Amino acid sequence: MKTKNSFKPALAVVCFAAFGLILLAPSKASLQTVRPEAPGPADLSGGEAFKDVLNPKMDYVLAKLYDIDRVEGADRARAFAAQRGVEMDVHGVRIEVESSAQNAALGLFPESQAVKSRVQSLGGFVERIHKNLVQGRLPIPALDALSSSPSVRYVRVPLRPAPLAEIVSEGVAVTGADLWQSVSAYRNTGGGTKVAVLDAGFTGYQALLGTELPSAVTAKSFRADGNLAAEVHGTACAEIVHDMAPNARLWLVNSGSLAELYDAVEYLVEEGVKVISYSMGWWNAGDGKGTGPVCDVVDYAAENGILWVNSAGNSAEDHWEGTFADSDNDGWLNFSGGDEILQWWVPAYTVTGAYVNWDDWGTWNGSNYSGSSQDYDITLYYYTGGQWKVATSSQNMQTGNQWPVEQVGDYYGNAGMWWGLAIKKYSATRNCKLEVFTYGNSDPIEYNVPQGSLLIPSDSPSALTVGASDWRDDSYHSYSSRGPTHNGADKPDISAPSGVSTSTYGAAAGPIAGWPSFALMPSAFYGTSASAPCAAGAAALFLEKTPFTPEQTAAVLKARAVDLGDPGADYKFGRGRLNLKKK
Amino acid sequence: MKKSLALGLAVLILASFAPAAKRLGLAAGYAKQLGSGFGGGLAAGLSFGFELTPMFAVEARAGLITSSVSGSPTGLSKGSMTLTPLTVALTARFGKGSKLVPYGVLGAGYSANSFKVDPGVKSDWTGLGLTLSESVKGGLIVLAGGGVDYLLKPGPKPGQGVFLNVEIRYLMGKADGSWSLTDTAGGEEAAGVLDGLDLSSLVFGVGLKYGF
Repeated sequence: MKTKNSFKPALAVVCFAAFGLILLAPSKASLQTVRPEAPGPADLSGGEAFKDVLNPKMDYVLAKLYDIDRVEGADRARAFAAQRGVEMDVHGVRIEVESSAQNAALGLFPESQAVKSRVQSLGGFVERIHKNLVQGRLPIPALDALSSSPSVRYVRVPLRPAPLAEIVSEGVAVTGADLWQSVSAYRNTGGGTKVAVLDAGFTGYQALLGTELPSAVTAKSFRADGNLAAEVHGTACAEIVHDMAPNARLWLVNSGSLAELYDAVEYLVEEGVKVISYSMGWWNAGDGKGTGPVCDVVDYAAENGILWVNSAGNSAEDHWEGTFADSDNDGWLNFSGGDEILQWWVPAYTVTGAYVNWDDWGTWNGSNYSGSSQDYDITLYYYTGGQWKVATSSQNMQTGNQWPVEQVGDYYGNAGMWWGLAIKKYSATRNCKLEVFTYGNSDPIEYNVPQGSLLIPSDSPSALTVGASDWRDDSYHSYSSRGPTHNGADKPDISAPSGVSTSTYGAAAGPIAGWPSFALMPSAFYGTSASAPCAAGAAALFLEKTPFTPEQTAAVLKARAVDLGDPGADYKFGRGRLNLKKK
Repeated sequence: MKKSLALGLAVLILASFAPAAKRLGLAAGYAKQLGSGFGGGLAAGLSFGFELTPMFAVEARAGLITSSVSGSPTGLSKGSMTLTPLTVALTARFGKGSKLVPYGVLGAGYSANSFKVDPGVKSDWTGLGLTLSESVKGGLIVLAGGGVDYLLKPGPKPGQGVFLNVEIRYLMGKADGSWSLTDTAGGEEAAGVLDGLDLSSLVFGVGLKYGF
């Protein structure tokens, strides 16, 4: 177990929820600063299979929710929903339905209308439809009936991206953008480039208009609740784009679910946007080879002449991947020797959990994957009283038609503690290559494998994928997700300055003597979240001043990058640090 | 066009051996470019003509016109333009035998053109790691104009001697161009064409002609 302080962004979210399996009332006295010894290797031999009888067309969390509601009542179901981050209100639970893909090859999705009718007939309502995706709310007792409809392929809790923060403006001088800002445009009469910051939210952006942001921006929310101020993260990203390209015209657009993301990007295409800055990442939303529903959105943007600039992710230290191995034949994955639990340290009040997927996605046909028949399940543990205790598990069915994914979270403790993950082969004919992403850990996870830790859609060949380097000295930020993609493609494409100043997060401080970790440093905007808008702003500036196309601009940014790390392209820095100066 | 010019030139060379009166001229002046973004510049020309009839003559002229270009986002960048018009024209003279002979000309030809981007602009882009290049192709031109020949020093025969010449010519022509901006780091190039650049000009000239 590595215990050194990491150079990692605080992705921590302080949670004030009032209940949960392992939650205690917050108390000052329980804020531990001394970390207990890491637990030794764990053998889970004898553990029983915990898979319930599930409807294979429903994800584990919804199936469990349905079961709890039926057996234990609505109050307990609401508690479970809150604990698992499932959105609920008086209309029911928010769901994402994939309709059957009949005529999908023709781009037609008539079954989505059938799903809409079925949702309405079951007392729910539909918020949004995009191709085969239907997003809406449904009373919990109706979940089983909906998923049994022949028009339904799969029902799940909506996939959500995560902001890749928290981690500006020093990037302007470092990259040479200041040299370009005063140059007259060549053969470009359009004025500032249209740039969209597509993010989770833009809290407080109005107060920055005319100073840290242009005097006027176009702001629009595609969230079902219309809440543009759901997050502050996007405001900081927009600041960086504006710092790099002061004349750029900004669209501040937020979305949450996949269907909302599709609609947001269709809107941006109609608006004639040329660059999209996306400092968000998705787990379990694709095979890591540049396909899947989120990468599909990126491809759509690129086909319409948009340069999509994406954060690589901040997950290099939160990632493990390897082929299933079970040396003691007990059905549980042995991460190393006899150790069957992958562990990580989580500070108090920091939400944690894990995402697992494996290489059995099938073929992406433009609207979905053909599906997985290799069934693995996962269990989340916490370490207390000298032993591992089960927090929760995830037991999605993989019977040939579902995605090869499991997810556990969002848990936290009122004291720092060790958390662990175990993976069980439930029904599989081969040893799949598994991939684990954790969140909430303050240090690198045990058996950390930084390679291949790209988040979706940074694996897309249509995206300009940006890793993080330090603005002071071009050093690699250890959290910055590394390539390659799961099909061996070089990523990230470039790196760009991180740890920079924004009015949203504060000014960047120089290295502070004796300070234990950059993660704990006050202020500054760290993470590939800060790097992506720096590259997006550079692209916008280049497009404003020259007649190059967005696609050519991406090629220019790659060619001009200052080589860092291993000579040539590497999996940490890509082609090197973003550079607009003459090379 | 080039064949026509070659043919015209051949006719002129042959005609120069004919017994008809001939005239060699040298002129300089000012050219006002009529196309948007073009400034004025110097003009010069060397001409050779011979009489077809007492009233009509054929004249061949090689000219040189310079012009400054202020630059526009859709046309040429700031820089300097050089036009080299080669023309053949029919000249009609009125009042032959008097000291003051007004005349009119109508002709056509080909202008070889070249354009140089302003060194400052070019070096701005070079400093940013980009190579800027712009060029203008040659193009057909037609001309119309008029002037006056004033006999300064009579020769042994009528029509011979040294003449002071003042004239105005309208040259009408368009040409296509091209541009490119190339990133020196990776070779990525943005390029395009400039269709139908208006290179028309009014040329005011003063010169001397020698008739023999």
